[in-house]
Amino acid sequence: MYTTLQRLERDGLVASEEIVDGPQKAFQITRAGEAELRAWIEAPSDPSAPPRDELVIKVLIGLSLSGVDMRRPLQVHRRHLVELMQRYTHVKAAAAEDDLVLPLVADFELFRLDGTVRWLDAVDTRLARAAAPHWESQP
Amino acid sequence: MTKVLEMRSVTKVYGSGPSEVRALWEVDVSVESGELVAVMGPSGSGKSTLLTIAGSLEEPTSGEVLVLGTDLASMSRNERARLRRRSIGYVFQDFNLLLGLTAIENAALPLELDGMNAQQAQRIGMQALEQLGVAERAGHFPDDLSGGERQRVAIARALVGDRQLLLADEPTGALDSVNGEAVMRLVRDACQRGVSGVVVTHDAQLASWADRIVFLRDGRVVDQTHSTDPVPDRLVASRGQP
Repeated sequence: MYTTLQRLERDGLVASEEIVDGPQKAFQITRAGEAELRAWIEAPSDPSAPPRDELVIKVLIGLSLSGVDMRRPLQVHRRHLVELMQRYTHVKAAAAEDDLVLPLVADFELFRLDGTVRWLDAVDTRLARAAAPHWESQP
Repeated sequence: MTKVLEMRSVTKVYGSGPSEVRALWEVDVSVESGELVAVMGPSGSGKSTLLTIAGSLEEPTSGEVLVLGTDLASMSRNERARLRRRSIGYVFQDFNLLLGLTAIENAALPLELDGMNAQQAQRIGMQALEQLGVAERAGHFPDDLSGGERQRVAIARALVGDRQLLLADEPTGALDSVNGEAVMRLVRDACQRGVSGVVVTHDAQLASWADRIVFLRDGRVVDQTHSTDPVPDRLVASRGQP
């Protein structure tokens, strides 16, 4: 924590002052620091997906194996994700009315998990359309 | 716990011969008093058929449906109609409010249809609107209400009086996620007051409000959620962090 604050002070983004009756320092954000913070808040985060998502790999490998009916493993993953969503929804439901932070954090996780459930649904639909429970691996 | 809805080995087949469609196949679903159950499945999985059969709007080809312990097959048409008016509430995706009636008239309608005089029905209807936070919109027609308000009125109509079973088909309709969440909070609150709820949906976020989720595929129950653990540690850890 202090190392980070010292770096910020070196860059002129925070300023420190000694506290008279204690060993600690107080840090305050500078105008340059505020400008940097605002620019950071507005800068788009890197949305690229992790290069190797374990679930995607499991599904692709499962599809490449002959004799594996993927509907069962897809449902196991779906149930696991939905159970996790239930837990986040319980958190949100139990949050105090004036609490904004907890619902926002829960929402972020819920939308992320929901996206994966939708992907599993799309896999199911594509497999059904292909009219086969598994695909042979392609050379 | 009392079972408010029990579907035993329910099968529904439409058509016959080459055009036969199995909408439901040996489905077992039960809902306890005060429990909220979501039935989740893709389009064509049979979830709307399950709901109409649970609500006695349609009869199964085979199997038993018990509502409040009584087998629907043992009831006359009139008895089933009375059960629908008094004990079962329906919420649909497109709200289905009568456009020529005000919010309070819509909410009171099931009671009036059941023979209650208009004044008493509207008094009870107003209580339902109050419970759902739309009492101040009682005199407005559906076209003057927002989507969220319309759905609140629809839920008030579904719960008015002493309903014990709430059946909802994609009840958040085209509402955005925050307004949809408000609807699910109302459904959950009703269940906490003792109403039993069944929500059918393809939407995992909507389903995650339920105590239990039943997964339907091709007319069959293929899975259901288990009891859930407490709050994820990671979320608790992030609490209050900027």
